[in-house]
Amino acid sequence: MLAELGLAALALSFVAALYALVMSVAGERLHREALVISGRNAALATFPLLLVATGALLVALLTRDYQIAYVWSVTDPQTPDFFRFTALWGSQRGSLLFWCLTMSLFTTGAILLNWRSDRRLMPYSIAFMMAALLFFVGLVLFLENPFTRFWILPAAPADAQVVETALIPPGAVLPDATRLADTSQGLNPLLRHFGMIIHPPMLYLGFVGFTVPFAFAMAALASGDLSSNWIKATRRWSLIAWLFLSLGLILGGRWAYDVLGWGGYWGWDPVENAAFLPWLVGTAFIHSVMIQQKRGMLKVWNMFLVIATFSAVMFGTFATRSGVIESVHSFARSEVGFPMLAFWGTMTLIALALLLWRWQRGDLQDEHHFTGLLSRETLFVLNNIIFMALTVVIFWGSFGAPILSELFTGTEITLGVDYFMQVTPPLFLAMYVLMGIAPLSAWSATSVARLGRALFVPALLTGAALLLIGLSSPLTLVALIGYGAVLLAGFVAMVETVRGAAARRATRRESWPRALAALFGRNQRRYGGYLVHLGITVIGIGVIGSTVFQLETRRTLAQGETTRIDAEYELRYDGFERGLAADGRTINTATVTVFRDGAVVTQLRPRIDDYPDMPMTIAGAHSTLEKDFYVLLTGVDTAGAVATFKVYINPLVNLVWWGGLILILGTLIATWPRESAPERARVTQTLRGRRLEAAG
Amino acid sequence: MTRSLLTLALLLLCLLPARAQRLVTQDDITLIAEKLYCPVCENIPLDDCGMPACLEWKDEIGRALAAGQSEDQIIAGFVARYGEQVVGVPQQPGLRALALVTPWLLVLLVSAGGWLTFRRWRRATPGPAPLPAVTGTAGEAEDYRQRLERDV
Repeated sequence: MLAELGLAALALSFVAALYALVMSVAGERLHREALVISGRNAALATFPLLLVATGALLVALLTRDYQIAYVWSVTDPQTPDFFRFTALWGSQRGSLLFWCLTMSLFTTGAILLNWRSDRRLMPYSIAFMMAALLFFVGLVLFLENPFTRFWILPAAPADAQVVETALIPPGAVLPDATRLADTSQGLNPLLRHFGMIIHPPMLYLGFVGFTVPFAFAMAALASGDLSSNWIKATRRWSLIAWLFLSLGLILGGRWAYDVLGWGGYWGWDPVENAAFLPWLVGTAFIHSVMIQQKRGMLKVWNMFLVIATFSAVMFGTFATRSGVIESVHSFARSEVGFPMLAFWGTMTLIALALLLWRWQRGDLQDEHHFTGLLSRETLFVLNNIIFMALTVVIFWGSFGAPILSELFTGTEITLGVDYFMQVTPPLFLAMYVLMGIAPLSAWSATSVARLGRALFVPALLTGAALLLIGLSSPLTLVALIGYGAVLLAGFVAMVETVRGAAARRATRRESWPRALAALFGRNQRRYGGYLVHLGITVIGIGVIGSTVFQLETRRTLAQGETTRIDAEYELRYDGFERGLAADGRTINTATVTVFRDGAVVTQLRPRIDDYPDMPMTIAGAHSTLEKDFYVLLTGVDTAGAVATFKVYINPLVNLVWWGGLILILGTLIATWPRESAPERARVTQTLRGRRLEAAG
Repeated sequence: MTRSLLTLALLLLCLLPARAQRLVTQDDITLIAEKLYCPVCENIPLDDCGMPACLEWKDEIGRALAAGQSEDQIIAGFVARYGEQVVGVPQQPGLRALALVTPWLLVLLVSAGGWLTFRRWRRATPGPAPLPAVTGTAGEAEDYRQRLERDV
């Protein structure tokens, strides 16, 4: 029953998306309002339908319906209810369905919230959003259906009696429920972590969220409304998508740190990079649209960036789901690879063709031109170049070089941490320097002297901070330069915020908290943005500290033996226990005591969970803001008398997570809805445009 | 002179077995294993891989170090046996250049494209005159105050 319900809802959502796509385009081309509205209603129907389909699969997971092949492959009778929820996105089929649901959620939100204000853009926006949704629902329905069931065909030969189909084959009987439960496979051990309940949905929301600005941009190109309306309409959607993508990346890093057992949070794995690429292009886009909004410039470039962001999202999805790139993150090789590649290529080509067409017609003329070499516009363009350069070198290392090498030389190569640590640091450094300078420059033109004066206080604070850090611990040249650039960016954000609050206090006699609150409330975008910059600064400090100053050592200890790790820390191996968990894994736990300057700091219990298919190394960590003492149990003899530990001391690593929280807070402030007047203005403008169009 | 050379040669001969059996720490192995990738499971550094084959390869690194092989020799040995995919940056000069030089060429290309576009923009019809320059700290403070008032 659940399978039938899910299948019917999925099929109906496919039909609804197709209908919405056709009606929206037809309505717009034929100027038939009724068709457009009919298309919109069909588009709105996709969300409840996909909610029903996803709900059916979730109920099947919770009620242990092992006849559904997906339920059988990702859960077993021992799987706790908590992980039955996460199993929804624990494998390709379920996660694609969940992906469709999040995409339809964004689509519904965009239609409902922008229908009145951006009426002229809506038909084509709906068409492009539905094209994307149609493709993914089609993938789920025809290639990766999560509602296929096991059947027994008694009349078939013995080796072909068990079949897996979506529809009931003639003469089929139900398989034995107990046998199905006994043979069910259970969730991938890597996914049995709290972080997995939130990391994938965040990443999916980030990925699919960029469909909305892309669809509006394409609608602008297709409809000819090439003003900044599409940017105003999608600014918040872009920020929301960027927020979720950032959150997904940060949570992914935390999950890797906790679960993958290698002492770090970013391994430059191709699939990690595939999620990072849209973030980089999306960040360039978020900065670049400000120039179009303020100065009416970079219209072609912004179109290109939104296309590149969507294209990066589609490529990332393809890289993760096709199995073309081997990674701890990627789903197994599947049939969706070629269709995804075709969809990615087709959408990108259509988008670029539309852009070229409008560009050649001269429809994307800038309203202003660059007047000074040193201006906020120029620095934003430089910022864009840095983000694009980062995108290019990361893409090259993750995909370009390995693919080209194999194609043209027949040699398989891997570009790993060594490559990325050679090519990315100079670009990240430039990014932080620009983050420090750009907010201080003025639109149109600024002078070096003026910029220098504005930089004086932040630079002074940076120098003082570097001096303090240098006095407390020795700094390498790399760390000094890195911290210098990162701190400058942070101090600029803080000084600008304090300066703004001080100006309010001077003119309105407000208290500091009130002045700050008013400042953030009245110009959310600027001060939310400063907070985001501060978050990126804190992340940067954490990354430099935990990369440059990380200590890593491996020690083998007998029970009761103590070893010195560095000048401060010692580690004692206290004991070992082995037990069998309810879900069938063997848990090997060591107990160790950590000493700092001779005093006991904490007792940790690193462990190895032995699953039938794979072992998982779960770290024991003592976390403080200053550093993490992170211990992995990497080997142990049968009796537990001797064990090998890998110990990491990760200075400032927690700043990566705290910086992430600040970034999220800043983005929320920048995104929070407030501007009602511009929306009204857009409604009036759009309606006036439509009246003129109808009259003409 | 000949006696000195003979003494030196004898001393070196005495040292050779000691070098051949030098004490290898687990951190020495880690330093090399971190630079290698698991030859059978793509994109997992050898040091982080817990597969039995990888554990054996790590032991092999230890034995090679104890036998006096250098880091470069050990890495070259792995590349010779399993191919270029076992290292984070290819060893073969042509592939190494392709891997490391191309991204910088691409960055130069992106930058040159940006610069040319910018020059084109500058040559295009000039826009409205820039805002009047405000000089002096008092003027700047007033300018800042006005900007802030507009913003908030």
